[in-house]
Amino acid sequence: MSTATENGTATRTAAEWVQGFAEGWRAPTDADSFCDHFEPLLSDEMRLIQPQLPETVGRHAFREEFARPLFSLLHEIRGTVESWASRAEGDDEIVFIQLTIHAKLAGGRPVALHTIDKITLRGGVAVERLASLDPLELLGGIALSPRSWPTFLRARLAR
Amino acid sequence: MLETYRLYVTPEIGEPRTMTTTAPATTIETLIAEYSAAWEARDADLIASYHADDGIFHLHSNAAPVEGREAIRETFASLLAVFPDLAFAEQELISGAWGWVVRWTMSGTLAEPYPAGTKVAAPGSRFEIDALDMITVADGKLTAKHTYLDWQAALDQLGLS
Repeated sequence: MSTATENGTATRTAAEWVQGFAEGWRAPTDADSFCDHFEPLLSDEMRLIQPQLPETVGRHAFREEFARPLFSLLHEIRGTVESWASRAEGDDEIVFIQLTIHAKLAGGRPVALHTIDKITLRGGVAVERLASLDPLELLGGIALSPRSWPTFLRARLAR
Repeated sequence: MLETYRLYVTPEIGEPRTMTTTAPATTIETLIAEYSAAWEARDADLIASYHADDGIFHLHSNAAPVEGREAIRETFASLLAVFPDLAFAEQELISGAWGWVVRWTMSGTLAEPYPAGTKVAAPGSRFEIDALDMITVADGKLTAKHTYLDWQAALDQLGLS
């Protein structure tokens, strides 16, 4: 159920936001449809923080610096929300989402990534996403999948 | 301030359900304090005593889940042998009757040579990284501990990458 604010604008609850997050990761087909799904859930100035990668800010960076490299490196992405928890913090809602991603690298090698995303919601949209994960899960798969090396290197050099 | 907390498990997306509540929050707070104290004491036997007989520990870092209290004790004992001063500084915590989520700064100093690939980190090498635990509880025991950390950063700091 959405929460009505003082100015009458309906904002998403944490449960609704997580449902949208789960739908977006369930079976995305490409970077653009993935971003089109997520953009209404994100603030214009959302900060994206994850290990071993530069911090990005904004929807454009989300599309160009996160989604496009991700989808160029991984295929048949399937994400499952395992569990989530939330609490209020002032005007914000802090949400932790446990996500498992299965995908394939170029050449078909399967990889599995496990992450917990800490999402800060303000007014029903995410203003920050902080990912906790071990990049070695992905890097190990890439190391064993030479056909993915060119894509991986392009993605790294593009930053 | 912990105002609200929820944990949903979605075995099938679109059908979320609330996890079974097993204990009042005050009991959870006590359990968190005692479990943290066991880690501060670096006592693997004591730490393991808080895990369920059939509990799991899963380090999400290319590692299979460790199943059962004794296997968990052995895993933590091995970890503490390698990093005897292993320490955790809490950044933030969400708790409820279902368990807790905690973000840490985790640090440690190698007590023995640590090989990785063709390299070996020397004793005295130190790391400090972010880590996160998601823990579920039933009947006063930890049924699952999922740990997420940036081990690549630790390897970088230990000179192993």
